[in-house]
Amino acid sequence: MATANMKDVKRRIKSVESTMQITKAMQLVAASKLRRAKDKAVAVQPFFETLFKTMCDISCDRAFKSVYTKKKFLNSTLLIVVAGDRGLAGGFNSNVLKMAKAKADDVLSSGGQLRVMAVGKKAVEFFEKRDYDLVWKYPQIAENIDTDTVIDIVEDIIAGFRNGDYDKVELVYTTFVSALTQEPCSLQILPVEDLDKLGGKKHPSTIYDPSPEEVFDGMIPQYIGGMLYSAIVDSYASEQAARRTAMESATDNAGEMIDNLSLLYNRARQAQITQELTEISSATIGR
Amino acid sequence: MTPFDLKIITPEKTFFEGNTEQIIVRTVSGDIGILAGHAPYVANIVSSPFRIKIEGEFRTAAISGGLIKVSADGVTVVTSAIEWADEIDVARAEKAKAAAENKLRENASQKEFERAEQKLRRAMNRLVVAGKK
Repeated sequence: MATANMKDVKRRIKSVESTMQITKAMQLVAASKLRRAKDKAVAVQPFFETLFKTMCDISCDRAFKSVYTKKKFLNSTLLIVVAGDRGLAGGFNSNVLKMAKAKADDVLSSGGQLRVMAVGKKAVEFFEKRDYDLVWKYPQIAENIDTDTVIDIVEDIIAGFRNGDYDKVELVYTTFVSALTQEPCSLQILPVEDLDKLGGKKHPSTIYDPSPEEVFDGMIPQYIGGMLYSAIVDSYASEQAARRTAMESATDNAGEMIDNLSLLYNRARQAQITQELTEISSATIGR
Repeated sequence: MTPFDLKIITPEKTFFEGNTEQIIVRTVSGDIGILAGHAPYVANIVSSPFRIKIEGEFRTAAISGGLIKVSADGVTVVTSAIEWADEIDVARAEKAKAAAENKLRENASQKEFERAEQKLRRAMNRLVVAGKK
């Protein structure tokens, strides 16, 4: 009996060990990807800040109307959801998708129309399975995101907005708080609201070529592009951080399991040796 | 010429930060040259060659749309993409140009047509700046 048990335990130790190797490797990969993703997320900051500040300044300088600032009246929303391309990242995907679903159901229950744009394979799968109007799918763009890709997406968003397909654009993604905390959050992209109250400085002598309205409208694609780009980069960094944490605890658990199993194995081995010794010595006595 | 501060920012990095004596860039309403002491000015940039004079010599880069802001502290340019002439990926631009031209020939919808046109403009701009066309 003891030998059979020992074999089982040995086999289990081996299988846990190979699982641990995989989770350890995934942890290391995620850690190195996280480092690069964080650099990217930091690099986009000055770009976005400059654009945002300029837009605030324009809003302060002159009173004007832009199609991008008008309040909604159609009650129709485009929801952009950014999630990961892969699983095994703890609660990363489910957290952001839960929030997105709550937002979507909010819109629908208040009688509004809803369209969904899904970025990341997990988001695409989630909304395909359910009964939502999924108009755009962008799986697997986050890892090697570049500005040309984002500009293309943004042109779609803006064309739809100008066309009147929807009059509100909201973005749901995961923001990187720290290596241990990532939080899902949402952001209204269009219409652009309340810029004049956000502390822009007045520069009455500034020349806007050809006019403040046109400069403002011309900046919108860059502005939304910057927002979307930073959301995707932010979400990607969060995904890697979540995966690193999840895989770290998986590796720790595997180590613990191996320790327990080794203890079991050693006990069984010792019991077997003791039994053999007893058998031998009792055989000697009996002779 | 009096130098002034120039900063060029893209989403990926700060592309250029330093002194320059003159810049020439195409805005929505036409080419504009900026020298030190220019009045505060804000305009949108279109895809075009972007020329920067450093120590008496012009360097050219391909810029794909963005914003130029001139204030008392210097000039800030924000753009989604910019490359120096010698850093342009010519093969990629050629490919983008061919793809856009195919799209234009296909009698696509108005929206697709406009987008292909934009892409063609960006690709052409890169090729022109790289000196390959």
